[in-house]
Amino acid sequence: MRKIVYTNSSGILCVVHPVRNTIGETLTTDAEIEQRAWNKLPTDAINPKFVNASDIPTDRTFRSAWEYTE
Amino acid sequence: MAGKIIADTIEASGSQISLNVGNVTILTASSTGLTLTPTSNVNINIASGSAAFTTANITTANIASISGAVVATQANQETATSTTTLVTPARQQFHPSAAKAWVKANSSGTALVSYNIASITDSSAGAGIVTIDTDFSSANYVVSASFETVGGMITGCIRTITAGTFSWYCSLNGSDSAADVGSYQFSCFGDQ
Repeated sequence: MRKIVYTNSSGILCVVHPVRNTIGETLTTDAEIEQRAWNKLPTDAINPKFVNASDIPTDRTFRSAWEYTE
Repeated sequence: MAGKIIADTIEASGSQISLNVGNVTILTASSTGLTLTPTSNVNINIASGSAAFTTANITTANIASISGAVVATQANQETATSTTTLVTPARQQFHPSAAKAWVKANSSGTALVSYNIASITDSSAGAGIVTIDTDFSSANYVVSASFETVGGMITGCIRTITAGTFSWYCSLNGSDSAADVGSYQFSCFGDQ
């Protein structure tokens, strides 16, 4: 499933993980679950984008310094 | 006209057996009571406007489904006072005592198990946002949080709460700098 990245009002890159609930999930496809997460992004999210999960670093040593470049 | 029927079997030539107007008592000879043995599924219909159907002495029943006022509605659950309605699995969570949303997520924000969660946002090391799928009716709900350590003492707190989101912040060993922990666990209680 894809992730969503955006910059918040403090200039920090945020990574949104759409959730497929393990109990009581009402949606079926990854696309529906991604869209639910997209629809609930904060109104002040700057430049949100869908990205592949593999684009998110696993090394979190410098997490607070992450930036997104295309 | 008073009378008595003594028979081992009564068969209706049409589609119904009509009993007298008023109280009708069916007596059975043993304590095993009255047994209906249909050859296929059978409906027992209580006509609209009829008096209450008393079931006080029904000791066993195999009922495939029930409907009507006996089934608790969402409002019944939220009021939480009825002692005469039945709770079904799809509505039990509307009771005030039930968790309306819960999740366990790892340090990067990936949900491991969850209920009624739309997304988890990793907003920096040790900080994030949970977005609820079906929102609460207001920001006045309770978030119970716990944090799993992989070393060191955790200080954690819930920060901004809205009807559909809340954020958290964690630090280690008394520092005021946010830091990742092993996992995050949240459960939420309140009115939706």
